[in-house]
Amino acid sequence: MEENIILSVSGVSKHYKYYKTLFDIKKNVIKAVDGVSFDVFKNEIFAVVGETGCGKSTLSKLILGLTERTSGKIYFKGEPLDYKNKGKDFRKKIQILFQDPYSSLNPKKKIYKIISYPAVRNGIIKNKKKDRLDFAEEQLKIVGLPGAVALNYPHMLSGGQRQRVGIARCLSVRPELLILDEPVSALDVSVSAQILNLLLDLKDETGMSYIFITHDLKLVRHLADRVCVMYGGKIMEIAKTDDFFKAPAHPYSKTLLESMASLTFIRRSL
Amino acid sequence: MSLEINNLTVELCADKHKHKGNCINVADSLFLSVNEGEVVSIVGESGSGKSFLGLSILRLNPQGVSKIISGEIKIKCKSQDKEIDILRLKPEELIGIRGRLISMIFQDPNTSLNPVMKIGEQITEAILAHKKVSKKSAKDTAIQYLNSMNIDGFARFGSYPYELSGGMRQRVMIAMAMVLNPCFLIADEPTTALDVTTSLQVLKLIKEIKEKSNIGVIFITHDLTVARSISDRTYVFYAGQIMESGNTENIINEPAHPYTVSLIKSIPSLSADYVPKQKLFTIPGFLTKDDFKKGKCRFYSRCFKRDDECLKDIALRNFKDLEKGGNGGRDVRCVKVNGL
Repeated sequence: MEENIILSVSGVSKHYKYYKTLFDIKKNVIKAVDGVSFDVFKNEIFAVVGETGCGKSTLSKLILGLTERTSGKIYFKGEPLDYKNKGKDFRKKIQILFQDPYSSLNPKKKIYKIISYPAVRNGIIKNKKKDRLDFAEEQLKIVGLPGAVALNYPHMLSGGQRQRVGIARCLSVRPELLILDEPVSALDVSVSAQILNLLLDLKDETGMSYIFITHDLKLVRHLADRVCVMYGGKIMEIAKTDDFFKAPAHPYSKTLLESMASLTFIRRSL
Repeated sequence: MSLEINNLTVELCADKHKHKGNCINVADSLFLSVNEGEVVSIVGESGSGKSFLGLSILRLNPQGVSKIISGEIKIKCKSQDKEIDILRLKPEELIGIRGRLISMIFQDPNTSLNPVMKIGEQITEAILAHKKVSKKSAKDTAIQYLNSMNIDGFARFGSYPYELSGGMRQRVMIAMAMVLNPCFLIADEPTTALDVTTSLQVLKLIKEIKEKSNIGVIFITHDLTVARSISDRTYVFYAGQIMESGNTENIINEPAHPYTVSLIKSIPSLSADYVPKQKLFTIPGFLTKDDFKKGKCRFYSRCFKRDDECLKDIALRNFKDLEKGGNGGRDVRCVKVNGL
């Protein structure tokens, strides 16, 4: 079991301090993430569910090292996660796919530059136009886009195609853990089905693990192996997906499930 | 009291010079009706022209690039003694319609509220523009409406939009829309930018308002599950045409048009017999400008049932076999559906 753990988060907290007024003597504290611990296994989809402001995104930022944690420890394959340690290349191994494909691609750069930049930065390919173009076309094929897209600008693509470019960019450095921050909430129903199918295929092919951040329980039911419910910066419940949907233990999970259910098949409860 | 759209055709052009090749019909001979106390939802993919229809009803469609070619939008209200055709009104007469008879809630509460005005001022502005009342009584009305949206009106009257959460902002938008007692409400994806729990609150609120003041609601959404939880009737919209219409429950339980079938299949469900991690059904390709062209079924390029029969223009026809009671008939625009 121990060897199967790819990411281990133990007691991680992030507290933001602020002054309520200009003349406040004491600092007030917001506990965005408060003492969170969980493990993510290899080739697993671990879903994090909760409403806006519960600390889901802060948690993903902490795992990516985009904000510094107040306390707690994160281990990646048994080694302490430290992005300053250049020898370990943690940046390569953990990647994130952003929610909004419209704002996460640089509108002034061509697609091949967007996709190949992480690879150039991490020294996988040389910084030459031909290398970058070839590399990008290869990556685009993996996500099911024609190679000719490489020379387009982001505004020439549709939302679903842009999200595929985002996935291609994540995969360009062969990550072992991918954080999906609401990957389909900005997309249409039919397009989101395409993206979900692609993500499932890629997981089986590459053996990656996903941390799937969402507020849509339908998607959790469809994709996830285990579910973690967050509220107010704390974890309320961690359970296997089947168990969670059969019998949620925590009262908050129950409310969440009920509000979801009344949006799907129990019409009269609204 | 009813709103009726007859044979509405709206043209949208890619440039202001209206070159023929650059124009498409974003609404193509539409027939739609809403009665009092009824929620009607319009469901479709992005780019299918749902929001444009909502804007066209209020004649807020961008002037210069788009033009209403034909049709009539008739509205009859309890405060008005005779029927009005919105498309025949002069621009200055429209002020009496917008907000007063028909109001609209927009999709994104973060961008549709003025960030440098207090929310109370934004609501009283709407009252003072339409009614000759004192500022004091306008303020009282605004507070009363905020209270009815479960917002503490006294405390929040002087708040700026950034001080509120997304759900609260959306409720302020609803308060602003309802403050003049309109008889119709167009809600353009009011829950898309919100969470599950907050969107449920907003949906409940809209339903409550509908029941209390007995207004007609046009609910534009891309989510069939949301449409199911709120609406009585549904129009499925694709490329400017209505593909299927009828009672919401009937449409979801027994979809007839291939487009509706595909839409329902591509949503992961929460029902007990659902198998997770199976391949989801997808609709190949995406909506393009060519789909708006006349002469063939507009869903032809993406349909799983297509053949040569579909290459002629298809009218919306009454669907006899499947309708089991309920209000209104079921209409389908497909030659492949039996029982027409």
